[in-house]
Amino acid sequence: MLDLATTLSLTMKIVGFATVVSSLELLALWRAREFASDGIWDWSIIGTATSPRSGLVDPLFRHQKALPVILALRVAAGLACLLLWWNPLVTGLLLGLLFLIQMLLNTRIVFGDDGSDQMLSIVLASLVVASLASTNETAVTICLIFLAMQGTLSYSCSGIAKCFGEHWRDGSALPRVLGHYAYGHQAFHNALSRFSPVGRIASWSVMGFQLLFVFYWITPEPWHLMWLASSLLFHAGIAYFMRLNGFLFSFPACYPALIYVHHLL
Amino acid sequence: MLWNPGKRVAKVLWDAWLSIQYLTTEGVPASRLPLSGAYMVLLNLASRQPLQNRAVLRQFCIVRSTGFDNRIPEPLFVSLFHPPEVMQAAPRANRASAAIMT
Repeated sequence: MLDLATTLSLTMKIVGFATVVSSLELLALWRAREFASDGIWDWSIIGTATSPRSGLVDPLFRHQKALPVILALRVAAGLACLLLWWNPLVTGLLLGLLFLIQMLLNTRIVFGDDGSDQMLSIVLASLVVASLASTNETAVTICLIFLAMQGTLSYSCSGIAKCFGEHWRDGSALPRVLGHYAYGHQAFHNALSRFSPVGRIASWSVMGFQLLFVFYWITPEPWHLMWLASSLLFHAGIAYFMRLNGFLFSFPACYPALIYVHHLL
Repeated sequence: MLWNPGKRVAKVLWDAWLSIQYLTTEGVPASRLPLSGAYMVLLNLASRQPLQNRAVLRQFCIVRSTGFDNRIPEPLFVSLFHPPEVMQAAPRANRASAAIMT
């Protein structure tokens, strides 16, 4: 279905797009002075929260102009990944740069990051290892298996965690989540709350989908793609109703690996 | 749907509150919480709000609300009182001791 180079190229392009959007959003926050001394991410405070690790990057982030330069570099590298085809040397260097910047940002944005940032770190690390091991097809395949397992685990673990939540079990969780000021959607929240059976079914559908995602691996081709289409729709829903757009760009970076490894089985 | 830089700002409050909860469950006494990075982040957030006339001290409170349901918010955490002019300088002064807490 997909060959090795196409799988790696697609993964790289999706992750490139995700880093471009994420960087432009961070640049918008920088322009709004959120990283300045009077901002939320004042380095003198954030650096404290990650001490002693922050000491390693303190000489860099002490300079106010360092972050926009790093983010501009990240946009350029992300765009290059979006445009180029897989090449272990050239794209490997770009991915290495993106991974390094991701590690720097993980220290700079301690409060306010989310699962999409973690997924970006994992995908970038896997692609860097795949570039370094490019001459060994087995090693590259292992990187893709790791990514496919990571994608499966992300959904399954989230579903299992929801089973331990009282509100997820009684079906009231989704209307509650959508009632949140920051992540909610008033019209959808009102609709789900007014028709409680619909709210319950919607909550259980989310939990059920995540729990059952592991059945992707026993679904025959080409029906297995329905799982990926459903999860893409799930992330699009989260991006629209909860305005958490990062997941829509970072989680699909695992999909080429999921397709490739499924075909191997 | 495709663009939302503000999501991180809302998440800061949530992450800092989780961190304070963690420190509390780990047995860190309330008197030492102001030395933590999370408390300083919340203090910094609170210090961005304009002061009322004649206000001499500032205090912040974390409350749990039910969002659009508009029920009565439930207070979860109340900060110490902080002189407004100290709030900006405090994080830097506390930096060394806060490193122990985080």
